[in-house]
Amino acid sequence: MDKHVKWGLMKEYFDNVTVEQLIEDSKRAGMIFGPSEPYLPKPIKARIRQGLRPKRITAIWFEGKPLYYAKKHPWEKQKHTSPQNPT
Amino acid sequence: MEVFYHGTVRSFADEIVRTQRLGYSGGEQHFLGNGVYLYKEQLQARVWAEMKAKSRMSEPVVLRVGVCVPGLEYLDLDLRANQDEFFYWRQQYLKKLGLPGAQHPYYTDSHFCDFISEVLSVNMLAKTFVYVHKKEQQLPVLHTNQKQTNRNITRHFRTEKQYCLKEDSWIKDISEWQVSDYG
Repeated sequence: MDKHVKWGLMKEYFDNVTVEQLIEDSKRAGMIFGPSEPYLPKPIKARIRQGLRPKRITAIWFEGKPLYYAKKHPWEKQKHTSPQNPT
Repeated sequence: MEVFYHGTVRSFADEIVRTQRLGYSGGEQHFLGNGVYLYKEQLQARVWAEMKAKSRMSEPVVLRVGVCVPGLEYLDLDLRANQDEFFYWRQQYLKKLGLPGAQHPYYTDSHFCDFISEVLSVNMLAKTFVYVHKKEQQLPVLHTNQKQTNRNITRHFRTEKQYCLKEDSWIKDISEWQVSDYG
């Protein structure tokens, strides 16, 4: 039996399996299942839960690692004031 | 019979040699799923043993493990053909579970490897992974948006080929490997 026939078992399995059986087999393999929800990073989820508008998240790459910071929306930016030019 | 090596610490090694049984490792951090993790290379097993021994304040020990591996049931995920199949069936798996009404899986590579081992009746998986030492922190660097970069950075990184044995009944012999046996 060569590798193509071996992977053929996978094709045979997927052609015949129902979604419910697939979930059962996956659970037996240790996969955890939960309600369907889109993937969002935790900070954004927390803000949505609080009813806040999510900030735009961006990243700067430094030595192969991302350093995340949130960019402010225009209305969130503070207007700078100075004694010479008070607003 | 093929020879593999397993790195561990003194207290576990004595028990393993006495009972001739190796414990299973599992969890998300074991990317080939639940099973006995082995190396073909003695030095890699030694590095692993030393790392474990340091954290446990114990003596590192490398075990020589004789395994009978029928060729048909050994899946090498370093081969391009097998990788193509793996990623294709992973896509099909997630696609099928993405159908309306289906529950959403918390996908992990380790559990998916257990899943395909079950479906394909494969008892041993092997793959090469990036090995990142905690202190060295050598991660592959592909991009940087710094204007002035350190030109001494390397795109090479350490790797280790892991073998995950799903069925420990294939293990025929376990003995302690002495440093003098090296070479």
